[in-house]
Amino acid sequence: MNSKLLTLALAGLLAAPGLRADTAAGTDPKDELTPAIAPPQDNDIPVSQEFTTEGGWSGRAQVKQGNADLGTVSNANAHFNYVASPQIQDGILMRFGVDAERDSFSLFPGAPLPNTLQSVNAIIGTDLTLGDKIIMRAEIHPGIYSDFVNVGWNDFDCPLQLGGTYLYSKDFQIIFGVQVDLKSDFPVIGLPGFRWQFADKWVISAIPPKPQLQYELNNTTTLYVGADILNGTYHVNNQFGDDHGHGPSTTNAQFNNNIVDFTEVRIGAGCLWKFTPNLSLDVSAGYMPYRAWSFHQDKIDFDSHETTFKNDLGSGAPYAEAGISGSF
Amino acid sequence: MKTTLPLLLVAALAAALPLRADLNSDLAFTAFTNVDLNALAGGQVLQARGPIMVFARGITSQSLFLINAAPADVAKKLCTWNPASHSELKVWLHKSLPAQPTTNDFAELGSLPDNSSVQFQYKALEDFDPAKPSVQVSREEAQLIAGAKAQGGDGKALFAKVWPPILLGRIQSFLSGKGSASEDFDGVHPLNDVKSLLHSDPKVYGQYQKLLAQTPAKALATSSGGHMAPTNLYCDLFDVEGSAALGTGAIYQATFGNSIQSLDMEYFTNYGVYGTVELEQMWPVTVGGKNETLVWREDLVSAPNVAYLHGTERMASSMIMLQETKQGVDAFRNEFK
Repeated sequence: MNSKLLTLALAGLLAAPGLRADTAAGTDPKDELTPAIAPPQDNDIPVSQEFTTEGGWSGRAQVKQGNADLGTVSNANAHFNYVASPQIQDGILMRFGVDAERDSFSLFPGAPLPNTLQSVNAIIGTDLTLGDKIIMRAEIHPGIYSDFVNVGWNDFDCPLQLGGTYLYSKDFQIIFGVQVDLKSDFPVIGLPGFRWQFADKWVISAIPPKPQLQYELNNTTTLYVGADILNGTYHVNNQFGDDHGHGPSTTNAQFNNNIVDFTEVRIGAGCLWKFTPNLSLDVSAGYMPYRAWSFHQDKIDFDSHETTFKNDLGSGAPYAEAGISGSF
Repeated sequence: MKTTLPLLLVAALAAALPLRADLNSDLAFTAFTNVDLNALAGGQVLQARGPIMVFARGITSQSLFLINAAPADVAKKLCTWNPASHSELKVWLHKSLPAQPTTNDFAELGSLPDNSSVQFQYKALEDFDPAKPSVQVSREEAQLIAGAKAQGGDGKALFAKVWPPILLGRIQSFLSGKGSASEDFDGVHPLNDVKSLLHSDPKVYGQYQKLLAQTPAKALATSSGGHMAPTNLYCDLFDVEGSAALGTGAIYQATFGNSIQSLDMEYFTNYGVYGTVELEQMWPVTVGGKNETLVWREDLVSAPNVAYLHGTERMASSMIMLQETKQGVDAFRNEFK
């Protein structure tokens, strides 16, 4: 019929490797034009793997409690993620992996803030297709979300993430997602998004936590402007308030055994370089306009106490980050 | 025209075929069972994603649909329709070639649509570096392009000059059944990829083995394959991710029981795709008192990008492939209205 499949749409959209970097795939003996492929065996379970490792720094920004200036804080963050996905049957992938994230703050003396917020968790989930246009993802992330002082069962949390992609066409997809974390300030939060390739080289990827306007410079390089939202919910130890008063010889006992929601918003420009077909380097820099720590009791207890430390919008700091991701 | 004779033979054979009622038996090699022909008569296209192939660069899908015409007419249309007349398919050129083509048969390469997709091909020649070619050519072909470039001319003129002899060489090599490793691009021989695609599903391969054995694809594997004249030869230029790809292929058709089989192998493409295979099997059926053709189709594509898609990305790609295949099926069916 020769109607030609116009593209391997997401092949370009998600992989976009260079033209020549594919000699490793397949097995094609040069001197012999015999079929290289054996019939698939029933017990073959394709397993794909993906990882991300990234780090960044955002500069010192004035932290306020209400209208009071408390001092300046900077943040060095690191993140690692690995997931293996066996396809157990057509249209169903399992997802098993680990994720670790750390925000390490350079605090002013006597700061009522943790110097580290960190998570180490498992990833257990599934991707499945619904019909020919929807892919769903369900994951739980059980693990320790804590200041990592006197770690105990109170530091355990198990957020649930549900997401879906509606493949309207190769150029336009609608994304929706819901996160349930009963310890968070927002126990249930839903976020819509979309990805729209509105011109040959231009894509709006309005997908949290990294919404971007992307320009494909060539087959291996994409430039973008956008945002990156760091967000997490952590438990602080049962003496945290006693140890972190507003200055020497003061305490904040109400913060003992609290939950803290940390948020940092970064806006900037970056470059994604696919330096091999499997590996990408992502480098960006810009301005961090908003950073906040919100202390509260466990939402399950429905306690009304809440204290927020944050900078004023516009009095932020520069940031830079870099990461490598890959899939195999 | 030499391609007329096989078409007439197919038409004559198909006209004598009885109607067949045992649908599940006919479709046993496919992904479809218990098909409701009445639903298909309403215009429905049944589709199925293929499983993840062991062949890393391969991706596949199957479709099943009805066409209000006789199988022989559908088979003939597969060879004679021009997908370039359907703008949504982004096929910039589709040219049927005679059985013994010459470089003069590629004259249309000098008068292509002016768009950014086609411009990619011109620019690729203007910037051509034989040590690092931006199109998929062998070393010898790269030297040929470099030589032509050294003589001057813009990308458009170079395109019309260098590609006719290269395509002609690929066609002659394919028809002779003497493909060689010297045609490799980065260690990939496109015909090897075509064969790997064909071997990916043992049931489908078994169904088409008799036809395959008469084509150069089989002859290359065993050096003792039969020789059947292709029903149609063609070259085409189509869009891949915003950049045009130039290719050439051959269609083979034969009767198989009460049906007609069609095998379309695009064994050379110069960008984005290494090889494609399109299989059809066409049965005469009666639905609601009307004689129609039940068409099973499988699309198989080998592309460098596919090897680097994993997990969910690959699932999504196969779902997008279904959408694009359906677009092609709809365009083809419109040819019968």
